[in-house]
Amino acid sequence: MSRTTPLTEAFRTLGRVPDCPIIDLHTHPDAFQGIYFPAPDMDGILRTMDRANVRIIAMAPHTALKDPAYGNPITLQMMAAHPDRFRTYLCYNPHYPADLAGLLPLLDLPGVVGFKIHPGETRYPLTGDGYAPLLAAAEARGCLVLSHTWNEPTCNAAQCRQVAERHPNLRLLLGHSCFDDWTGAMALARDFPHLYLELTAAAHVTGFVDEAVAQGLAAQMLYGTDLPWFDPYTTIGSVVYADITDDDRHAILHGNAERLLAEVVSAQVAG
Amino acid sequence: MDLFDCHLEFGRRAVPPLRFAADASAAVTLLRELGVARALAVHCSMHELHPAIGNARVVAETRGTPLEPTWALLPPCTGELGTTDAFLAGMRDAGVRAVWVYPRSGRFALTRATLEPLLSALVAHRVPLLLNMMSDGPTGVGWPELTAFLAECPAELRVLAIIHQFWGEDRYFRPLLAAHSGLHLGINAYLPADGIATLVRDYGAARFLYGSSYPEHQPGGSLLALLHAGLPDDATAAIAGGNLARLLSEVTL
Repeated sequence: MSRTTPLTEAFRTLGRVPDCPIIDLHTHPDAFQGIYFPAPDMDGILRTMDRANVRIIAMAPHTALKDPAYGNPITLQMMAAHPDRFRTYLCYNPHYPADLAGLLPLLDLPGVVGFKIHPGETRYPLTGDGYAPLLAAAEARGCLVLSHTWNEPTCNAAQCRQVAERHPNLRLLLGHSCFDDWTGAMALARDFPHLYLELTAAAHVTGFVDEAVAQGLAAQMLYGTDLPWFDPYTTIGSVVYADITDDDRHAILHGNAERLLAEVVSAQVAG
Repeated sequence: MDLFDCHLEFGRRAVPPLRFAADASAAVTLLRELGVARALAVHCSMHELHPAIGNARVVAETRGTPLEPTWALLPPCTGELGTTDAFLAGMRDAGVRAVWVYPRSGRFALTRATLEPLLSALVAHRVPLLLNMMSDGPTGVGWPELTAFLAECPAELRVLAIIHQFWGEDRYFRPLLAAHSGLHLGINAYLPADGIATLVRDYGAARFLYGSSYPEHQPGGSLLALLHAGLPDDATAAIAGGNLARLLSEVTL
């Protein structure tokens, strides 16, 4: 383990490493009421991706987190325009459970990788009845569920554990890695190989990447940025300068995501 | 490129982060691994124990290292850190050129009246005030609080406000950049995509400083974000260290 390897030096001096592209499985490509973003639209997102050698992003618009009917079409349109660069999560608001029926057929579209849910934003517990049909459908179809997870009442580590136990084959991405409950997040990943520590914001907390890798969890860690919240390099730098190996860096920055996305496509074809 | 970190902390906190630099030696090792030449340093006892304790420790423990000590102040009214003249003389003798204000952990109001007559002396000697813009943290200050403070302070006051929050805060600090020429921002956790380039486009490079805010933030994020922000080389160099070096060189203690 070292912070001074050929890979770290390449990222420092060049910024882009051809055999280490970036895949970001947690992004929100549109404007947001609470923050000024310089370029949150599709063209701006693509420029940012190109600057940082981000090959593919999986997206869920901010607007779709609260109002899926408004926001989901944004990413479907982006994906149609650039199918090689964009993947889509379908957003779902559990306060409107009847909407799920309209979303399920969209899971068959190429590039749709699963669901994004935000128990915090909708103030609805991850373990609540409103999410149960979605989680069951995702488990049956082999797609991803990216959930906002945080040390808060709606989506904490204990609730993630309940979901993991109920759905032993669900590919559940713990967005933000149960932020601020690092011990709980790492225990979840150790106990459930089908859970993944998604690193948006979490990568910026000193030592989390280092500690999770030290616990043998590198194969379950995923690069993420909430793009455009975080410039790609803020998270790249947090991973690259963690005290881990270059193999770990490759796994986190792209390898694990490549594997997961391939598994989703296989499940889609098989399904 | 001469990288000069505007905020790095060492020492054993009561509640340790997952990783941290227990002493100055560990902090220097970290700097070397990151390729950073030097840093403005804080000892955690400056805000966890008492400034009188921490100010002495940070000077003693950084001596002969690339770490430049900073001090924490307290309101002069209680006399805990001596008279204003004695405080400034102590800074000069210890090679301290910037001071932190921790109003929340110190339980005092961030107002001009609270800090006088020390504040006027700091202005006269061009000593920068350092503030953690972490509204929910024990050492932090909120932007509305800083807005009110700057409105009552002399225009010549130099403030280095260190950005810490994950939520972008442009709508808070951009009006302050426009109104207060002495305000500089540590972009230690200024995270928005293309944010650094946009700030430099709108305000020039002279008001922004590189920093890690270790161990609050994983080292490396702010470093690569600056190096690959797409700035002209002279702007990158200014933010990386030139601006901080200039500000400190202008201190007249």
